[in-house]
Amino acid sequence: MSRAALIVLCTILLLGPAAVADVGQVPGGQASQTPAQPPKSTALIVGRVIDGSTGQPIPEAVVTLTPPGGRGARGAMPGSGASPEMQQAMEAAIAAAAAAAGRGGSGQTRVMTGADGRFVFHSLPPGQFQLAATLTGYTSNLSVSISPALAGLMGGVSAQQSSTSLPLKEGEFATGVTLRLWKFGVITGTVLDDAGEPAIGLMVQVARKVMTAGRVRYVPAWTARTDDRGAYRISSIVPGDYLVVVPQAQVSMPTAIMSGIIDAVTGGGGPNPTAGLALMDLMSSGVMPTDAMSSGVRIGDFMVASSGSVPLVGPGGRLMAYQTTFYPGAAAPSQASPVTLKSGEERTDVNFQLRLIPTARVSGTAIGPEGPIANLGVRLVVPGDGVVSESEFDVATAITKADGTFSFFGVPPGQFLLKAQKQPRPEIPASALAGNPAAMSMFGGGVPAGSKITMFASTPISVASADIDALTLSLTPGYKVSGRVEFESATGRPAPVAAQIQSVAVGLLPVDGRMPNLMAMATPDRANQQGEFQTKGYESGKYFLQLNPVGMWQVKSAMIGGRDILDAPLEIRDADASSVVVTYTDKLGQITGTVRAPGETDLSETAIVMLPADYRTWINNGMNPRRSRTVRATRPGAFTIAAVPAGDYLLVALDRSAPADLQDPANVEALARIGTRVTVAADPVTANLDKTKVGR
Amino acid sequence: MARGTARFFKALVVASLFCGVSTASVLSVSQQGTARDTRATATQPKGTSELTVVVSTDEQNSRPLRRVSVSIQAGELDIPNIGVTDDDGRVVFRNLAPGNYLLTASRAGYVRTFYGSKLPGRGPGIAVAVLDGQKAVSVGIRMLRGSVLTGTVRTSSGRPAQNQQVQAVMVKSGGGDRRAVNIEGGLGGASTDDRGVFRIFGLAPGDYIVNVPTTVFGSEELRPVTTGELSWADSVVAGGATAAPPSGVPPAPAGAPSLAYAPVYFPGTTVVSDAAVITLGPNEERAGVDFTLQMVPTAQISGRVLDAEGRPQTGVPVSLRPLRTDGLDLFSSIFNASARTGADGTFTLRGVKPGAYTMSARATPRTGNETPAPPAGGAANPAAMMQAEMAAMMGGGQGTHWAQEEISVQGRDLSDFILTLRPGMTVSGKVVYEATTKTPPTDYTRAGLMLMPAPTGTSVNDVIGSMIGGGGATMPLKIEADGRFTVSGVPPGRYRINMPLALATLAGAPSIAAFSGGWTLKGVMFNGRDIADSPIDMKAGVDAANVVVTFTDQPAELSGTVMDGAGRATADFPIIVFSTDRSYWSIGSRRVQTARPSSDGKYRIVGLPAGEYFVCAVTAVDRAEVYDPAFLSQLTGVAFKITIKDGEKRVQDLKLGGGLQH
Repeated sequence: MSRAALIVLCTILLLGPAAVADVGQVPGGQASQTPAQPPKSTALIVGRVIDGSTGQPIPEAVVTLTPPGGRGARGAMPGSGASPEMQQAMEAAIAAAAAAAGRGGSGQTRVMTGADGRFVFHSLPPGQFQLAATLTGYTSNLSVSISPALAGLMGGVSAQQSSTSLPLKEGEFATGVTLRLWKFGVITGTVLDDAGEPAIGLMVQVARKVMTAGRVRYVPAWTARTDDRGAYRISSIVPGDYLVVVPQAQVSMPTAIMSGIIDAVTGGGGPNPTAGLALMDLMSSGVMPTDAMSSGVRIGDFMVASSGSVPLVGPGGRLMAYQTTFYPGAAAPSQASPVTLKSGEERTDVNFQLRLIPTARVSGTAIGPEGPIANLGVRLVVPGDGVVSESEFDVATAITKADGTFSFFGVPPGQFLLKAQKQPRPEIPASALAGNPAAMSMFGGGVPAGSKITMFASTPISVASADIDALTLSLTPGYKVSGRVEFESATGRPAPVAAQIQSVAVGLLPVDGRMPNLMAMATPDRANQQGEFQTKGYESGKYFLQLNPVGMWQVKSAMIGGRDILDAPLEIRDADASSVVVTYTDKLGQITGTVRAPGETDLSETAIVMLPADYRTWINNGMNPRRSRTVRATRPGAFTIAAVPAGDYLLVALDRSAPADLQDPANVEALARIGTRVTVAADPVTANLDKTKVGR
Repeated sequence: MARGTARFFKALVVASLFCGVSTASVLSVSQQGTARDTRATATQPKGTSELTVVVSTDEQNSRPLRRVSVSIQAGELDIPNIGVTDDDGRVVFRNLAPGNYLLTASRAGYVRTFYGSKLPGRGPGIAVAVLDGQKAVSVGIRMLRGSVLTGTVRTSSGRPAQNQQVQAVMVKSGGGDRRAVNIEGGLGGASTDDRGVFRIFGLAPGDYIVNVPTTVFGSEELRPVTTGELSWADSVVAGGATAAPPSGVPPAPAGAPSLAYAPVYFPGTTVVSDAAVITLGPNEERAGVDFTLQMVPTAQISGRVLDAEGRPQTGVPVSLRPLRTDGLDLFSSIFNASARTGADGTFTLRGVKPGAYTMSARATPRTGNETPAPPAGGAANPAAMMQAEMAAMMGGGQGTHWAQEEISVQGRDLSDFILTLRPGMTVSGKVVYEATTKTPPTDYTRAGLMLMPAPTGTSVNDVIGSMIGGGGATMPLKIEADGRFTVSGVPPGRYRINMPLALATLAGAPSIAAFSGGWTLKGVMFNGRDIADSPIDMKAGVDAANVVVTFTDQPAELSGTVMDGAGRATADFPIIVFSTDRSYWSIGSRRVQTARPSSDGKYRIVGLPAGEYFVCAVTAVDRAEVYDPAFLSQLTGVAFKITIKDGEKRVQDLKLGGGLQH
């Protein structure tokens, strides 16, 4: 083992694996109701798992049946900026937690299909069941850009539900149920270094093309590492358009952080919160420089790492680095050639020849309103333009020392944004740590509060061949949104009690689809007993307001200056936004209906897409999340779209394998052309749709 | 706010796991991690000396090796400086202060090489002595290209098994047992691709066991659909019936038993002792390491948890952990089956694979007269909930009482177990500071000691499992300001009292004394034994009182020079110092230490507890085997004895060849 392992042990011990346990935890107290006349358990499901592309049956697929009231399958989260290794780690953690929590406890039954792909579940009571098929090497959801397990952890809302809803009547025989899986695509190739030798152990990644707010985003997705021959094979790619990338990022971290962690682990003198606080501060600025911890090279007071390759010193003592390379050899996504991959397709010879380029050193000091900021992650990113969003492959990350200074040691020439953010560190009383020996040994007296200010910086910087020293990166406080919550009943329901009002959490989600800061997500801003709220600070930009339902109460509107910011992104521009009035109602509209498709008896593979009728006003701001939905029909073709705000909508029923990305203007236009118009007021409306046969 | 804290922790854990897996992948996949054991040094001394290192390939026609990371460090606890070789395989370290330096060379695809070590991939190496002002000194390191294991993993029906983690673990046989050898170049991993193919590279020569461990993927139980069930279903629905006829339907045939994927070892067995050992030579590529995944029958284990009066206990976490682990599979030693008792005290553990287990529970019994617990999701203290979850996950929960049962599972369901909660034991005593030069701390509460379960095996995985998976009874010593301490609610088992230092030791750091704020742990004495190094066996109903933990500011020290038969200082032979008392030969023991002399033959070991020791020079030593009783037993015949007294600074030169000299 190693230093890296020490860190792992330290963090696992400190935090305990248990905090993820609730991910896989079964809701407690599932006391089953005993009706007066128990229904007979005589219903039956017979079906088959097939390859969605070829129609061939798939043996050895696992079919999971979730009974009424059990946990449903998790959905996919819209693309995130989480690194692939983080994704893999999270998935492992979730799966482990789920396994440890005994997933069988949720009442799910898992069977494995036979040679003909068939399965059967029998002796079932009536009720709404969920069916899902899984098999390694296959996806059940073509709209997934990251793994469903991760999406579950992130609490993401499903873009498209992966499981089939199957309502069963007492004694019903549901036969001919078809579950489709699509084989992953494969991309393989070789990476050669600057001398033409195999580059060993380098990460190669695909970035899935998605549209967000009318602009193209390439979201980092699946990865592989090159082997001792320089060869890689990424073999779990959901069909779609991808860039293939050899990402390279430089990371520098003060050695003091490393030393602190080692001291904490080796018991250097009783509770020593320094290392833990440094890690918390790093997280609160949205970075976790594991490369520097595990494979860093010491340069002065910093540990410097360069993803997968050793930092090289070139002529004049300058560091040489490989540049992030997009197939077939481009330095920027806009010059790269996307690879389109179909289900089961294998694309070979996606080869890379890396080149070394001289780099410059960029250093400076991060300063906030209260002075220099220690343990702050400063990121160097490639800015977006009108077509492509800001790159999600960071060029470099530097962590500030105690005096707020930072140094990037290997910056390639180019135009960048220097970005940083700092969320307040949450204060944790010692009492909350009692019983966790590792946390106690690190934070004996609890976790003290740090600066209470949420602050941001984003500065353009142009790097040529010369070093840049003595930069000042000024972080300024974010802007807050404040207002109050009101409850307006349409049914005479009494307003929620104070404790419920305090459960209202107000969040702002960037419209560009970027991952919000984890620390910010973990510390939501809540209303007080009087319903007044004030958020933490946010940087200038466009946001969707996010509010959770309270019991039976749903958000109806959020008005500021006569505008409903649930229906138009809130633009924060260098000022706080105050006097927002959020109104909750206990009655929102609902659309129920049936999909008709002549000759089809099983409509469970049908997706119903709902768009706002005024979709054109949304197309370039990101599709309004509360007015656009995708749901799946049940087997007989029924569907329900709940909690729909009043307004006009377009509905389309189509096969769920058809592209229905509501962030893609072209898709939205195509769907809107064939949509059925529905007007929703406070009362439920019914809509019957014909499943579209349009060859989309 | 409180809820925010819980979510914050979740996020932090995510990040820490991220940390974990990504660093692990660096180690196991690319072999490129410049992993090392380091400790803070305030500032690096600067000097004027230079040292040139030339790296070349270890083969007949040796050639210079470019892009090698060469690390140079003044001691194993130092953060090293790293240089990278140029196209001629050269790297020059400048501004070195005079002293002894360790050199390590790393390159992806090659076996990490410790300068001076005779064992590829293993340390420690020989320290290079750098003299004041020296310039034109050059040392050479030859690196071995790593060996490769490649093959295909298939499911029982012959389909390629994709996304399976395959690991190669270097093992050492001895005493009828195989143990994982904890060296960096001796552990490799790779994931199978869509063709089921894996390729593990960068391996050091040695004996390997290849396995697909209990990965989180696919370890859940499932039931194959049988043709009997399908034809029954077809006959039931024949004739186009869409619902059960009023008269009912013929009974369904019994389904197949539930199965789960088990850890499987090449060439295709779930029994570790049946695993084939693959001997890899230097720079060898071994293809055809093909094997098939195996499924084993799973069982449900159910029962009830009661207090001594027979009252059912609700919400008690019950966990199952393997009685023995093979030490090859970390996940299985950390993550075990667990369940929580329901309203009537019943629990069901599902999907349990065949094996011998300890079933355990810890809780504080409820009589039923307490104030009702707040409803879930209400005003419950999230910190307490988090703790409870953590405890449940770590096995056995928390509380003043315990229950334990050893069970053997063989694919058949077992029911009606009664776990009766019994009061836990108490360990108590005091902390004492023996001060000669330093002033003892005014507040003793910060000594940071823990009661930790002793590992069941000798592998690193066993140690980690014992601390964060296994018994889950790692408990901090609650120390009063005057030094008195108690730990109560201790379930039966074998424990040591120590500082989390054991972590550092098992992670490959040299065995060093436990330090706390400049104080060295002298001993944790109970009934004449030091339970820091030799486990105490806590038996049901028997407390341990009057444990004395002593810290000293005068740690003992053993140093000297190793000389060859001609009386010349030599660096070729590592020193092993180990207690003459076998009960102290436990992993991480402070009484088993090694030292590698620097190139001037000098060695030094700090912090040995007082006692009688064997001292021995060996040709090569692997840290993984120094705690192995079989290995140490062999050495007793050639070692000589010395006695170390408290605080003694003993100088002991060793002369080899012509017999060891006092």
